[in-house]
Amino acid sequence: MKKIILSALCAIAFSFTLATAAEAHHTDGAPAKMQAGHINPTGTLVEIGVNGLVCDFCVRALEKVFMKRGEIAGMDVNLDDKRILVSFHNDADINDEALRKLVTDAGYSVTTITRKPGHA
Amino acid sequence: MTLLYLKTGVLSLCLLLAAAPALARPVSYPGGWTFMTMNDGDTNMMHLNYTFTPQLAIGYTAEYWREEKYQLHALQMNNLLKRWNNPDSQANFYLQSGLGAAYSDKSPHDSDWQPAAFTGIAVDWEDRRFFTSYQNRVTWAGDIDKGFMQQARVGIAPYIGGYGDLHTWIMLQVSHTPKAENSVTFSPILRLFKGDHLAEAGISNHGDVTLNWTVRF
Repeated sequence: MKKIILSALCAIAFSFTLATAAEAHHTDGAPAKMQAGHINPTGTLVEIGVNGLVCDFCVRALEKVFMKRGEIAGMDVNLDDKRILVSFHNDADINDEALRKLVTDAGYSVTTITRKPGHA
Repeated sequence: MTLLYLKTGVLSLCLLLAAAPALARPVSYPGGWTFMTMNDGDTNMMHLNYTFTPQLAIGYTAEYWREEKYQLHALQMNNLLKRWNNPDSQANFYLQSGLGAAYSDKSPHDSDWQPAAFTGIAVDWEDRRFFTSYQNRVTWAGDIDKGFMQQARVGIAPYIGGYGDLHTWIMLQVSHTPKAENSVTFSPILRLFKGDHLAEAGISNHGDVTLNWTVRF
């Protein structure tokens, strides 16, 4: 029992050290997000609400599945807001049904899809 | 004396089974590879799998049980039977099964190959602050080994990091092997998670060290 208590105390102390370091890392207070590729200022932009995003593995799965598609110029995945921003190349697009399938293939589910054609 | 040998044998068998690995996210995204290695006081284990569909990953598992001196090699299938995606949390229900062979270096099965199989379920629920999981496994390795174990975990993240940060979890793992003399084992575990890498370190109330690592690519 002493070993368990000692180990737990060490783990807690270590994690709070990491917590302090992580806090210092986010000095601007902005939510950290993943960005792959680039956001095309003249292409269609689609915002997708996603359920089930809880960790970096989830974000990476979405990135890997979406970035295989040639129509997509880039994407942002925001773990805090549970949303994906998908940016398409000029004159390229993927319909809502196919976007839903991409999210499902990554292991997650769609709540909303909002399109912003030629947003620039 | 015979009774002593019997008790020692049963205890060794149960300790072996208590160390059955707890796989972290055994199904990835289609086209993704996952490599895991788990090491504790009783066993060294590695598992490499490829995810074919969002519900199915197939791979190879190798385990070495040091005390009993036997290896287990298996083709392993991980099925995600159900996932619940909620706005702020996720829950999963997996079936994990393996079929292969066990090779013993220890009498009375020295240099002996036996067919082997295992199966079990795993469930988990997590949000960005809390984590719970439960899994069990039935192992059959011919005359070399057979038994049942179950394991549960609870965890808390002391801070919530963003994408790309180092994520930290403090967990308590409870393993239960019904036939063992010390049938319940407690292990505080520290999980560190960054990008595609997940590492765990812990120590049980019997003094056994746990070191696990998972990477996706």
